[in-house]
Order: sequence, then C-alpha cells, then structure tokens
Amino acid sequence: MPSLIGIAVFFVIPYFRVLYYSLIDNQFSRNFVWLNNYIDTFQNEYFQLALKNSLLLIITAVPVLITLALLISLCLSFGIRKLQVLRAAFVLPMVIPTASAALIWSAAFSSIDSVLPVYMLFIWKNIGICVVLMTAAFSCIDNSLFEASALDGATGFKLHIKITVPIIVPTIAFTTLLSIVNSFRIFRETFLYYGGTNYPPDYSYTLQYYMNNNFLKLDYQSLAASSITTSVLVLFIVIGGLVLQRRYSQ
Amino acid sequence: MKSFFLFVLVLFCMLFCVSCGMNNNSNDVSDTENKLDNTNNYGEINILKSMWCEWVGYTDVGFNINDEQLPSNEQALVILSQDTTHDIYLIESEDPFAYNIRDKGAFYPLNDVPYVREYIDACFPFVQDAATDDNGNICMIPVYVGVDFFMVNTTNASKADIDMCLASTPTDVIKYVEEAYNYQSGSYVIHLFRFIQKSLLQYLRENNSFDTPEFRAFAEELKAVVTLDDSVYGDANYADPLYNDELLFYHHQMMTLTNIGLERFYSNDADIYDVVPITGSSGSPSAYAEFLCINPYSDNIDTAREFVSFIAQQKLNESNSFLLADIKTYSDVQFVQSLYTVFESATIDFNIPYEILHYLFIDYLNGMMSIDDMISEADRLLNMYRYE
Repeated sequence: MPSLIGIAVFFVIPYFRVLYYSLIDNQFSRNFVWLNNYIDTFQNEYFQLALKNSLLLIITAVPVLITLALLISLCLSFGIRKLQVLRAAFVLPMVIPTASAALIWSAAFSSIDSVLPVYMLFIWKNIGICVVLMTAAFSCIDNSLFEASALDGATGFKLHIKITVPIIVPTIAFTTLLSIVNSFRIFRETFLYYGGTNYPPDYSYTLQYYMNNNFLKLDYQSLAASSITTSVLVLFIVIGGLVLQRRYSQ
Repeated sequence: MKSFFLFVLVLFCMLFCVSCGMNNNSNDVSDTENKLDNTNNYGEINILKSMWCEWVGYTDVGFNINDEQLPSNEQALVILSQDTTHDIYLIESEDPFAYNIRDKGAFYPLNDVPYVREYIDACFPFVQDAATDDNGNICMIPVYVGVDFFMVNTTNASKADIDMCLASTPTDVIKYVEEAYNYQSGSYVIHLFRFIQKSLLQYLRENNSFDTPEFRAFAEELKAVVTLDDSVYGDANYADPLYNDELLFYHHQMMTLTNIGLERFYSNDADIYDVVPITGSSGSPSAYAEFLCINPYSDNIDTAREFVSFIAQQKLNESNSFLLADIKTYSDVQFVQSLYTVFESATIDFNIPYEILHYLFIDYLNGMMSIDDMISEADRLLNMYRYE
C-alpha cells in the first residue's frame, strides 16, 4: 500500500496532469483544444528529427550493447579465465559519475564530428549492468544440464548457442528492455558531452532536448504532448518486448 | 473484492487530487511575506526593495519582501509549476524566456490594477508594445529601459577629423573605429560583446538567415578591427576619460539603474558631448528593458497588485525616466533632449540565447572557425531555436 501511494502521488497523478495539459491551449487560460497539440507536435520537423534520432539509438546501439554484454558474460562465466580479472572494469562505468565520464569522453573524441562517440558512451555506461544481469543468469543454470548436453555431444560454441543462451532468453529480453528505456535517458550524457549546450548537432538531437528546450521556452503544451507521446512509445516497446518474450518462452 | 474496493479508493483519491490541481486558482491573502524573483540584477532589486520599504512605510500593512535570485531554468520551473509561493517576477528582456511570458500568457493581467493603465499609456509606444499582448492585456510594467549608444566628445572628434555623429549602422561604427585607431591607438572604447549582441538583434529584425552579404561584410570588417588593439574589450563606464578629453568616443551601456553615470552631462555646459545610437537599417536602436510581472498563481495577489500599483504611481511622477513619452517630464538641457530622441525611436528586442550565435561569433573572431562554418552553424541553431 505505501508503494502504491508513492507511485500514485509521484508518478500517476503528475502523469494525468501532464495528459490534461497536453489537451488544453495554455495552462493559464485552460481551453480544451483536444488533439491539436499532438498534431502540432507531430508536424514539427524538430520533433520528427528528435524521434528519428531516439529510435536510431535504440535500433543501432542497443543490439550492439546486448551482443557485447552477452559475449562478455559468456566469457566471464565459461570461457577465458583471464577476463575474470577484468570483471571490475566492466562494472566501473556504472560507478563513475556521469559528468566525469562525459568529460573524459569529450576530451578523447571531441575531434570526431559524428554521433558515434555518444553511442559508444551509452554502450560503455550501460554495459556493466547488462553484464551483471546476464552473468547472474548464467550462474543460475544447473550444471547437470551441461553434463547432459556434453553426453549428447554438445560442446564449446555449439553448447552455448543451442543450450546456454536460449535458457537465459528472459534475462536477455529484460536487459534489452532496460537498455531501451535507458536509451531514452541519454540526455544527461549527451548534454555534458557537448559542453552543456541545449542545441547539439542535428544527429545528437534527441527527444529529451526537444522537451527540455520547450520547457525553457515555457511551451508547456509542446512539452506535455511530446512527453505523453514518448511515454506511450516506451509503453508500446515494453509491451511488445513482453509479448515477444512470453511467446518465445512458450 | 477487498482489492477491488482498494483500487476504487485509490482511483478516487487520484481523480480528486487531479481535479484539485486543475482548479487551483487560489487568490487568498494569507502570508505576510511577498516573494520577488529576479534572474540577474542586484542593483534593480535593491532599488525596488527600497521602494517597497517606502510603500510599506506609507501603508503600514506590515508586509516584508523576500527577494530571490534564480537562474533562468529555475525561474522557468517556478512559472511552469505554478508555484504559489512566488508573487512578483523582475524580468529582463535579455532573459530568453521573457518573450514567452507574454507569448504563452504566463502572467496576471494588470489592466484593472490602479495607475497601471495610466502609466502604460504614458510610456513610449515601444514600451507599451513590449508590455501588452495581442489581446490588449497588460502583462508587465516596465521599471527600467536602456539603450546602448556611443558617447562622443565632439571637440576631440573634430580635431581627429572624425564625424562619428554620421554613424548609423554597425558597419559605420567599425569604419570610425579604424579611423580613430589610425588617429591614436586607445582613443576609443567598445564593449565588443554588447556591440555584437545589439548589432545582431537589430539584424534579426529584418533577416531570417545569416547568409547575406550584409552579415558577411559586418563579420569580416569587425574581425579586422578586433585585432587592432584591446580598446574593443571595454566593459566599464568610461564617462570619466571622455569628460577628461582622453577619449574620442566610447560605447556606453545603459544597463543598470545604479550605473548610469551620465549625470555630469546633464547641464547645458556639456554641449560638446553627443549621443550616437546605432539604429541600423530599421532606423531604430535596440533597447533593453526590465519589467515587473505578477505570478498568476501567487498566494498574495492582492498585496502584489498593491505593490505594482504603487510602483506605477511612483514611475508616473519620475523625471528623466526615459520611459515616459511626455517630453515635459525631461530636463531641457541638450544632452537629455538628445537622449530623449534616442529612446523615442527605440525598439525592445527580446534576446535569443547566447549559444545560438554570440558564442559562435566570438569563436569566429578568435580565429577558431571560418566565416562559412560560423554562418551555417548559426543558421542551423537559429532555425532549431525558432521552430522546435
């Protein structure tokens, strides 16, 4: 019950208020314009650019992140023993403050005029938690399963592709969803990487920039409409992921 | 069944809270402290505080003022979150969100506040335009307006054969700077950052892109001048050296109420000094203004109204305010009359964030980027700022 109240007060009620603001012309005069704010937002070329960049991050960086995390977890759990010494190195990005990480990244890659450093920063910052989750999942697999597989002739790479990885699909799906949600929170890293500007290069302009800038312009209606749109998008992605996971598990 | 009732109860509580939030328009006068926010200036806030104390002395209502200096983003948060504990904002036209307070209706209309209508009607038309929205609502009352101009020692300038008074565009100023440098290094002072800011705001009144021959000429000529000597980086009040015949001209910023520093020129003996505004092709110098506006969600609307009414009444009776249009409220000395002419034709330009152009322009002047790169990047940022 206490957590239900907490979620209601800090998340659900503000969400419904934002939904209400997205349907009115102005938070001061408060006339209902229904979906006009959404139509304006969807027609805005910079919202389209921000949405495209945010989706591009999900499509390109998240698969790379999950694949890398899976490979590292496999190596840590079953493969190269020397990698275990480096276990702390994969978790280190999680504990380094974002500002410090962005500063280091900015110093190292400032000459590269591309979105690649931001994607790499995202992968670097998030790979630790993915590796921890996947390694934990691998460690939960019963050893007798490996022994039985070995008796059936499955060893090495084939064993992992056919047996190990399919067993932890729910964890992979969860990690993917977590990474997608985290990709919508890349704003802090990008903002600091570009020296605190509200107007980064076009290729790094994501939904959070669009919302933040409209906030500073006191344009609550664009802010509310884009926030609701983003939350619905995240909701669809999460539901889609859960449906796929359930179907695969069955 | 139990969980169903629990769910209904929670849902009811949530809907109640949402509806309370939607109807939160309380105007109760309950607190004994009014909060006045500002984003930048200490000088102005102190003057307003002293006016507040004067008002409290008149009315004997026992209210206190609690001023709070907020960064722009926090001020925007206060406005958008409809924080009821903040009562009055001191807004500068140079705050990036100042225009949006009017544009987005984030103000308490002052139309029926005593003395405000009379005060606004008595102000220069350009001040009225800035303080009133498209529907005729008075969104704020101006407490200060300033225009940058060049103070010229005409005697010295004529000795150097420089007729600075003919300057009207930023490019003209650059030409006279070169002439002054050739006459004597260090005989002039420009505040480079504000010169760029004002020139660009004037330029943006009539242009939507920086990729024009006019802008390129301005940028290239200014770059040639900034390398001459350090006289383009003046950031203080140079009234003293001008008065002592050490300068031909200097860039005077009428930025603060407390730092005007021109009183010495308010006499008829000072007719060797002239005032040269940069009017640009529009013929109108760029003005800066500070306004008071009331938070529409303030808990202390009545007291805030009384304070604003008091300020409007005081301002109506000010002389040499450079806010009032009636020329009879100004001294008849030549210098003041010249200033009146400058202010009469001004326009308040609401600022765009510095990161859109100013910082790029400075990078260009410092040789850190080419003019083509600067123009294309500035155009990109300007479009993003205007249309996002």
